[in-house]
Amino acid sequence: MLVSDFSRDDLIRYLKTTGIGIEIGGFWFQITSPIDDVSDHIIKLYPDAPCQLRRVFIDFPIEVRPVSGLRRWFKPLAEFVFNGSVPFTPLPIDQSPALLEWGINWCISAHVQTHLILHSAVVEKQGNAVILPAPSGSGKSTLCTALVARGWRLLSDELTLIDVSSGLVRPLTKPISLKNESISVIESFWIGSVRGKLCTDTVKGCVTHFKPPKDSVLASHEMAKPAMVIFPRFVVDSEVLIEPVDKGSAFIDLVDNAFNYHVLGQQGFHTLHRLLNTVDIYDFQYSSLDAAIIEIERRANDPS
Amino acid sequence: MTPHNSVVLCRLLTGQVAGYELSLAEWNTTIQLARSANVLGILYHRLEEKNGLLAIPDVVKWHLSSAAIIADKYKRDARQEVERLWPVFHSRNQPLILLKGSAYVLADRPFAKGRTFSDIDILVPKVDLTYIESQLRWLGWGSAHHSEYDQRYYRKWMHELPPLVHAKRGTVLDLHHTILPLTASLKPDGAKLLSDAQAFSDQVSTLSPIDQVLHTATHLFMDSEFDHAFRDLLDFDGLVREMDAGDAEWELIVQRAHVLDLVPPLYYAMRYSRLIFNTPISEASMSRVSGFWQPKLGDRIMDWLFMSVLLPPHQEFHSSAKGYLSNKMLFIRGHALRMPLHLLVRHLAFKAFIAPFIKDKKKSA
Repeated sequence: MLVSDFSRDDLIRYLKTTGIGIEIGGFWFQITSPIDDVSDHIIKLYPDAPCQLRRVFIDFPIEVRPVSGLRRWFKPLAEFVFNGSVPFTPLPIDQSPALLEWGINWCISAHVQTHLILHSAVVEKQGNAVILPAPSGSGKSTLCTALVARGWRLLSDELTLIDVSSGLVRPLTKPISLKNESISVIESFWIGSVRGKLCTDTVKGCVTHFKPPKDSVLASHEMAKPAMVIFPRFVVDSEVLIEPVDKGSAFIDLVDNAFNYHVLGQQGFHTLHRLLNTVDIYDFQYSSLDAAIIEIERRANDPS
Repeated sequence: MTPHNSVVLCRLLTGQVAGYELSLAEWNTTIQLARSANVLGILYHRLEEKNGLLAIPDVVKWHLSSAAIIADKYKRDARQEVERLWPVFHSRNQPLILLKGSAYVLADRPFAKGRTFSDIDILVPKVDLTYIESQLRWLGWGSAHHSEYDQRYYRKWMHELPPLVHAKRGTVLDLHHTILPLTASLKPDGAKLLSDAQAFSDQVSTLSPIDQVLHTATHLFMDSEFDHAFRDLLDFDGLVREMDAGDAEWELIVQRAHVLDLVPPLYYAMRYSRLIFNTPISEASMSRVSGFWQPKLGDRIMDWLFMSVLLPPHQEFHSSAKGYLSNKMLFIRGHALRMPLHLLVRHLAFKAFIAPFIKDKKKSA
C-alpha cells in the first residue's frame, strides 16, 4: 500500500492514534502525530511512499506532539519524540512539518553507521549519480531541485548515504527542503510542483518542502553509482564557471562535510578514498539554473 | 517476579536465549528497549561472541552493528584522551585511576565490549585535586559550571569537582576524590579505595576488582536519577560473572562493603541483579549480606519502587502513574541519602527560588 491508498480520514485517524508505518529510503518510520499540519504534510508530500498499518519491525518510532503543560495555552510548542526520548529543543507548533523532516533526517544521520553520510544533495540520470556537497546557503538544494524538475532522479536533497561495503549511493527519497528566496525561484522554475505549508521564522528562515517526483520515490530501492562530485556556489549574475578540483583538497572538504567520517574510523577513510577514485570532481559557480543544468548534463554525458 | 517486556532483552544479554529464537516482533521490542537503555552496542558484541549474528535478519542487524561502530569511536576517543592525561598524573607520581565505563572499556573487559559512556571518570587523592585541576587547565579543560553557587556546591559537598569540559574536543572529565558525596549518610573512605587500586596497563589503573563491584552498586543505588540504571546493573552482573565469585569471594566482598560503609547499595545490587539478570549469587551469599543490613521498608515496597526504574525506559511506562510516582519517590530518596535534610532544603530552595534570577541577571547584563 502507498500513503495515497488510504483515505484522508483514515490516515489522520491512524496518525492520531496508533501511528502508521511509512517507508522512507528503505527505513520504516512509525509516525504518530495529533497535529493537523503534520497529517496535511504527510498526505500532500508523501503520497507515493509505501505505507503499512501494522508493520512488524520498525526502524524509527517517532512522534511529533504538542508540549504538554501550560505551554499548550501560551505560544504552544511541538516536540519531536524518538523511541521515548526528546533529542532536541521543541519548536513553535506551526513549524511542526519542518520539525518532522528535521527529526527524520536526524534519525538517519545519528544512527545509520553502515553508510558514510555526507551533508549533500544527490541526483541521478542514466546510472550516473551526481553528488552536490556544500554548506547551507550555497544553493545546493535549489540546484538539486532544478535538476529534479528537469527529469533527474532525486536520491536526496540533504543526506548522501554511501554504502561502506559497495561504495554505491543509497537513495533517501523524501520531500525537498527549500528556504527563503529559493522557494519562489523553484515555484516559477518547476511548473506543476507541489509544496507544503510555509514554516516562517524558523532558525533557517522561511522553510517549506516540495513533493519529490513519483518515479524517484518508486525507485528508492535502486542504488546509484557515483559519477561526479560538484561543489556548487550560487553567485549573483555570474557566468557558469566549472573547474576540476584535485582529490586531496576535495578529500578534506568532504571530511568536514560528512556527518560520521570520524565515527566510521578506517571505514570512513576507505569509503571516501574509493569515492574520490571513481568520480570527477568540480568546483562550480552559477547564477542561471538553466545554464547550470546544461553544463552539468554536458559533463555527465562526456566526462573529461 | 512479574513478567515484564524486557525479559527477552535480559536473556539475550546474558546468553540464556539465542538470537535465532526471536520473532521479528520480539526483535522490534528488543531493539527499542536496548536503544533506550543504551546497551545496543553491548548486545551486538554478546551476540557476536556466540556467533549469533548470522541468524539475525538484516533489517535488525544494522541497528546492532551501527551501535557497535559508535561504541568503538568512544573507545578510540577515550584512549586518545588517556594518552594526553596520564603524563599530568605521573608527573605527580600518581597513577591515573579510571572509574566505571571508561575503565571497563579501556581495560578490554569482555562484559563491557560495545559499552558507551558519557564522560571519563577519574579518582584523585583529595590533596592532589587542586594541582591536577590547574594542570588540566593548561591542557584546555575548563569547568562547565560557571555559577559561584554550583562551584561551591560541588567543592564543599560533593565527591567530585564540577565536570571539566575540553574547550576544543568537548570531552567531559569528572575528577572524583571519593565515590559518594561528603554529605551522604554513608561514609566510604576514598583513601582506602586509592590504596587498593590496581594497574591494568603501563599508564592506567582502576579500582581493585572487589571495589569495582562495590562502586558500581553504590553509583547505581545511592543516586537520585536512574537514566543509566539498566546498563549500570548490567555492569554489576558482568563484573560478578567475570569474577566467578563463589561463597568465599562473596564473603570478602561483603566484608569489604562493611569496612567501606557500603552494605546497603551492595544488598540492592545483589538482589536486583539476581532478579533481572539471573546473576549467579547463592542464597548463602544473599543471607550473608542481609545479615548486615536489610531495607527498613521491606523488600516488597523497594521492589515496587526499583523494578520499574531499573528496567529499560519505554514509552508506556513513562506516561504511567506508577512510573511517575516511583521516579519521583526515588528522586527524593536519592537526594535524602546524599545530603542531610537541612542542607537539602537549603540546596533545593536555592535552585528553585534564587538560581533562576541569577541567570536572568547575567543574561540581561
